[in-house]
Amino acid sequence: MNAINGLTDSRGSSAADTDVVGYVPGAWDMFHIGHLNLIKRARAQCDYLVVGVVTDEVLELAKNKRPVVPLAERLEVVRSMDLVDQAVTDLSSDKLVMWELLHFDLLFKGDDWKGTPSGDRLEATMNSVGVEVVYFPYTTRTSSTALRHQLAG
Amino acid sequence: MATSHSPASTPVSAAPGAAPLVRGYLCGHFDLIQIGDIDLVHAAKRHCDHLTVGVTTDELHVATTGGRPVVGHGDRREIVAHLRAVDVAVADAGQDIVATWRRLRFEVLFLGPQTESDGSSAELQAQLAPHGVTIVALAPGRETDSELIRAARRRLEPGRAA
Repeated sequence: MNAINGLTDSRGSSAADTDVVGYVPGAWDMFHIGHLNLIKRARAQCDYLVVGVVTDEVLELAKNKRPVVPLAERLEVVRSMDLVDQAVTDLSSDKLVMWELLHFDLLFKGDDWKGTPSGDRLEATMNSVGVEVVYFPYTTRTSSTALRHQLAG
Repeated sequence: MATSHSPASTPVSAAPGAAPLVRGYLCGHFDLIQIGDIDLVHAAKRHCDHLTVGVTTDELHVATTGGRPVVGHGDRREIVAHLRAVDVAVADAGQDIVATWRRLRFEVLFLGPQTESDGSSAELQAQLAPHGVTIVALAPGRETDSELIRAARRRLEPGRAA
């Protein structure tokens, strides 16, 4: 399996060599029950869960709007959840960059990626370093959009 | 791991000969959880060994803030139950504090900044002192940098103190 050398979580523990390490990147904007359910599902499939938090800039490029909550706060909220072993800033949309740092075994993605050209490319890249891509039903975006509308009044 | 479905009277036991565990209780709205909420539970957990958080019911939220919460009670409570600093999350419907104490048997009651400012802390003190409860007033948590959330809060919770 692998070791996350030098990387420790907020409780000071780190993944053991035999642990299956999972990585789930996301915006985690206005943390809500859909996010928590995603984290529960991901944590159930691995021994050590790392949550990646995408930067404001990358989100703005991808979705044409800035997140409601800035990166530093999104990181803090995710990090305070009990099922999250470690929360990190997701530095690049190239998941190999994060793999070099974290050496995860599983990458969790929303199933809106499944069967798309980007999804196929991601799977090929991840498989080349021995990582399995695990798809989850992707429902958090709708909740976030609904919250955004509610807040905007 | 905390669970929102645990009975309110989760037994807390200390190792033989060890100092008894201190149980604390904090009540709050935790609507659209953010860094200020995280600050409050962390501050509370520094003063106790076992932290129970009461999450206000939607009705109590309306009564105390003047507006409905953005997130419903069930979801707010489930998220709070999964905060690492929180041992148990329960519903708080604003019932009599002594009744709550009889159910939970906490040694420390934490007051958020709201309770301090509305003058009810002296009253709580008088009710709970006979039961040996210490009252600890917590400093306000940090305000979010999110302008949208701050503006929404002013609009949705007209009765809430700044």
